[in-house]
Amino acid sequence: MNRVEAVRAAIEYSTERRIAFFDDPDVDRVLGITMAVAQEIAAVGEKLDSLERLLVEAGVLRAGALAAYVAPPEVARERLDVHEAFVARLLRVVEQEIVALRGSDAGAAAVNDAAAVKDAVACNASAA
Amino acid sequence: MVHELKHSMLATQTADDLARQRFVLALKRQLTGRIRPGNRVIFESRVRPKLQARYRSRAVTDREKIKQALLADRSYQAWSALTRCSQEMLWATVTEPLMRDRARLETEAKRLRESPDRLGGLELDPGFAPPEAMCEHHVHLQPQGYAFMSSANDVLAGALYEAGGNLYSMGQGMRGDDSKAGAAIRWLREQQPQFTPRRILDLGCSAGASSVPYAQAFPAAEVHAVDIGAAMLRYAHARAEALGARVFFHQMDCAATRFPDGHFDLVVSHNLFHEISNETRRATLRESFRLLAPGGIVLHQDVAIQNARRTPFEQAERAWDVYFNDEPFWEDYADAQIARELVAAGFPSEAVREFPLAKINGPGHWFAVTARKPIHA
Repeated sequence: MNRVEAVRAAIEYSTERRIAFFDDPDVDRVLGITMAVAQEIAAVGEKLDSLERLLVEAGVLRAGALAAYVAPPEVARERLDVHEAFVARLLRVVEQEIVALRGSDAGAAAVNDAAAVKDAVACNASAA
Repeated sequence: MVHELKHSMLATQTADDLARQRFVLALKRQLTGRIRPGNRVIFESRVRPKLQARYRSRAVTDREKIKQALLADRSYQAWSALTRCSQEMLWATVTEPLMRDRARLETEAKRLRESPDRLGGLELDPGFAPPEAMCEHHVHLQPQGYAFMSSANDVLAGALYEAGGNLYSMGQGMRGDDSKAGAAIRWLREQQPQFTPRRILDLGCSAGASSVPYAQAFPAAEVHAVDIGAAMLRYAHARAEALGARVFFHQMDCAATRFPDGHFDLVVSHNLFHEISNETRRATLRESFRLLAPGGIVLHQDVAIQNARRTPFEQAERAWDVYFNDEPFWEDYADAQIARELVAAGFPSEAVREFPLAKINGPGHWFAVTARKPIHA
């Protein structure tokens, strides 16, 4: 069983019903996804910690060198770019709402299109 | 050392599996240790005043009304949702490595079961139907439930119970080296230094985490253990063999076993009573009395959540597990007067004792009841 199959097998084995504690069950769903992301961040943190310890053991790094590392200005600028791109991806949905509100470009069209599709589906459903 | 034991019936874990488990542990400790105490603050500052206004009464004593009002509070909802989420994550996290290793675990269990060098034994009853409540309710939200069995060699219910249970207990603040049976054995040795049981019975043994310490502590004794699920027992037996412990596991109802009268010198149960109904618990106490030899000792240990000394708010807050951790009998157990029930089961009242059983390494204590069957019953 490969790693994806194991994850899927675990998901399929668990048939517990989901519970909505908040007025809007979508909030519960988002919370579940957020906590899974947090868990993966914790796992990545451990992996980095392992890497540092192995490098120290192998004599490649001095103990504490990673924590003491201060990025020189050009590296710091590069990192800031990486962070900004990450945050932009993270907040894409929020930004797209603003884009739509400006009512002037493709973002607005995308939101309107989705609304039009929803209306059409609702019409079809009531007609059937 | 229950939670830190290593044996061949544990799933092989990657560094990522262990990291994910540590995250769940950290999340649970935060929710239990730091956020949950806030429920009292929520109650005192927001929920109690609302209830007082609605019912025009200063005293808020109805725990059902308190439960409802708590669930309508946004901060309580957040704690509830996160706690439920942490329990779901716990199972997802321990299920994944078990799924990868499932075939090996089944083969290893079969090898241990059929080994000519086996120490104990396994007696399954193909005609046995686990109680409906244990099939309907998946206690602790364990996937597919406690009594589930998918094939003739299945051990997953037991493997999940051990892996999930260890993580859960440590999330509740229990230490890795704690042992319920260890606490009971220490108490027995202090209180009854002359007591050397020849036959010991562990009722509702699950994966056998409490049965094994009795076999180790009393090597001359014959240790028997009963539970309801075949996959649970198959795992329990293989685990005991892997640990080199001689225990005989049987698929039986703890309230109506097939052992003869007076067969045991010591009858114990660990964390059983909060998983069974009032009716089953009372029948189990009568069964304990029947199974004990004259002069024999019964000792039932469970969680210390008795409602008798708690406020209506505390009772309502504790009842969360009934609804959201699929623990249907949690509140019945907390309300029960078990020492009185031991007397009703046949033990003389002067022989019955209810007491806080000190944990091996704390914090806190277990609830315990004990009694000795008279020599001339």
